[in-house]
Amino acid sequence: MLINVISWIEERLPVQSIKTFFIKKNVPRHRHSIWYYFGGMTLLFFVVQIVTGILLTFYYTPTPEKAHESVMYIVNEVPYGWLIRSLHAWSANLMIGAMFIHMFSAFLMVAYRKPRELLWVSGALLMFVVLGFGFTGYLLPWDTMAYFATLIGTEVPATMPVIGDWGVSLLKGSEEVGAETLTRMYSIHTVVLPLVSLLLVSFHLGLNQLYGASVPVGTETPRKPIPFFPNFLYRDLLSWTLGLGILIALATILPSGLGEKADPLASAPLGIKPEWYFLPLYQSLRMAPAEVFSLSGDFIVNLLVAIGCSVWLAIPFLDRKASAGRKSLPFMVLGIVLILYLITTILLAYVLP
Amino acid sequence: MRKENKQGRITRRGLLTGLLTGWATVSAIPVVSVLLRFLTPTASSAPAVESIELPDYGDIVKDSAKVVRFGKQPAIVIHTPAGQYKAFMARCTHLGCVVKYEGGEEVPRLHCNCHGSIFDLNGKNISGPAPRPLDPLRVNIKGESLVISTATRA
Amino acid sequence: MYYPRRFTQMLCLALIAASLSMPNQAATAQEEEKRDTTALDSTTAAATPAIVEAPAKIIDPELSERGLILFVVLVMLAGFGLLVGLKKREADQRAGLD
Repeated sequence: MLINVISWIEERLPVQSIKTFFIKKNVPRHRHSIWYYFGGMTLLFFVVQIVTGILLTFYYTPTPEKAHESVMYIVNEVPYGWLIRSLHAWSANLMIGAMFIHMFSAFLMVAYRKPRELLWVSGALLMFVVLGFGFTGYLLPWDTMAYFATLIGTEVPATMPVIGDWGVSLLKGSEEVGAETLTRMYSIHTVVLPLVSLLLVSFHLGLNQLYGASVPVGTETPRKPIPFFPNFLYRDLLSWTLGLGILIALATILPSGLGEKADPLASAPLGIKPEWYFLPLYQSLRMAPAEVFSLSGDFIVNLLVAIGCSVWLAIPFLDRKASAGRKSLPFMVLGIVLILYLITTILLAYVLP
Repeated sequence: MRKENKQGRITRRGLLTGLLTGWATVSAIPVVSVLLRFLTPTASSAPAVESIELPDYGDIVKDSAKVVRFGKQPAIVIHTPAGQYKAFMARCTHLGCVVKYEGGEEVPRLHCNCHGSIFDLNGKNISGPAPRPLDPLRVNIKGESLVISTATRA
Repeated sequence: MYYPRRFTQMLCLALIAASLSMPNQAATAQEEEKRDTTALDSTTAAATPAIVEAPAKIIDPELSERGLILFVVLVMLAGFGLLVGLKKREADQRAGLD
């Protein structure tokens, strides 16, 4: 009976060619192989985000009157609600962490060179999508921190000429952070970004299956490569087991808290800081002088960030040496300086009052 | 894949596959049970409403009715052409739509717009798919208010 | 290598029994906690109007409940990791990886 069903399907689906497609893929072995695990790790936490996120939408209400109460209800009344919410919050942080490691390791191993340019571009776009997830999700609990962090975050485009005010109103949906902002953020967080990210992730993974992992320039691969299926998949499973262990430990030992319900008329509390992955932007805005050559410091920082993001997206097309299979010093230096800048600003934002 | 070798003994590979599948299945049980408990709505902690007071019942003119909130559910209070007050749970016993009072020229009755069930003013199902009468409520006049309470209450 | 089949079956049964009892313990711990809060509620319910304000602070989940969940999941993951590790070694030997 089961055999019949399987052969019926095999007659109508190109199962065999799909199988050979997956079995053909090999994972090279060399001294930098460890970095190959972080893409899969990012994927694991992405899946956790989808599952826990869908569960949370079953109880969450995206209105200023009910949002805080509904999160309170999830945390206090729903069986294991606190666990699902903590998993969602911690998995978000771990996903972004794994994504950054994956991205910078790909950069330093020059994995973006031909024929993997589109893998890099889709990955860089995914980074913006993931940061968008973080920003839009932060407001949803509607507590004081979330409210003021979003208030500040939505004001960031205001310094841009011409489109600035329009950009702010587009994010807020009204003049104030209120009901319209909350439904906008909710819609982006639960509909727009998930659809976009599913498309991008499928594209990213499909290309990865096609081309396999890239071997860094100048790295010797004396040993036999590992077949992806099943040998490397077992290794991925082991790393996912470890990742899930870390996630559950964080979620149970340090469950997510919830502040007081946001009061738009209250004055901003002391020490509002965004999530750690926005700290480089936050710290750069804080360190910028008020005015440089009659241009506002905020404007200059935003401009630099915009240029930086565009450059980052276009890296495979700018690094001419990479396509010829050679490492180029300026780009290595750029990558290392960027990593050091991000780490320094994050640390500074924590240390400085 | 063969799980047993020629002597009918389990191979190492077969055993490991079996153990892994078994362990994964067993591990899925607590995960699924957590998910099911998360999704199952918890019973409301608010006590069930047993009676409500209507101070403005004078607004319901003769030969008309008003739907009021009885706890979380709708109830219909009828001022009959004969001048009596009657009350029922307003949900049709067929599929739960709220019934409507129809008086005036015709014989006064309660009509469900969804599938055409008709109840008389005693709540009895006289036509349509409704399987049983409307749940009756007790009506008392207490001072200035009309008190509506569950019929079972003494 | 020879593994008695009976042993495998017994092990699987023991695992099922153990994991079935674990979520129930977590559930009873939570039920007890809930009973405590409802007992509080019923004494104040008479004085307060029908709409009860949400508590201003979140109630931390019981330490014992958190510990139990962490323990159960870590045991599950450890067992899973061990078996996947053995599968990996076996698959690597078959593929001739050193």
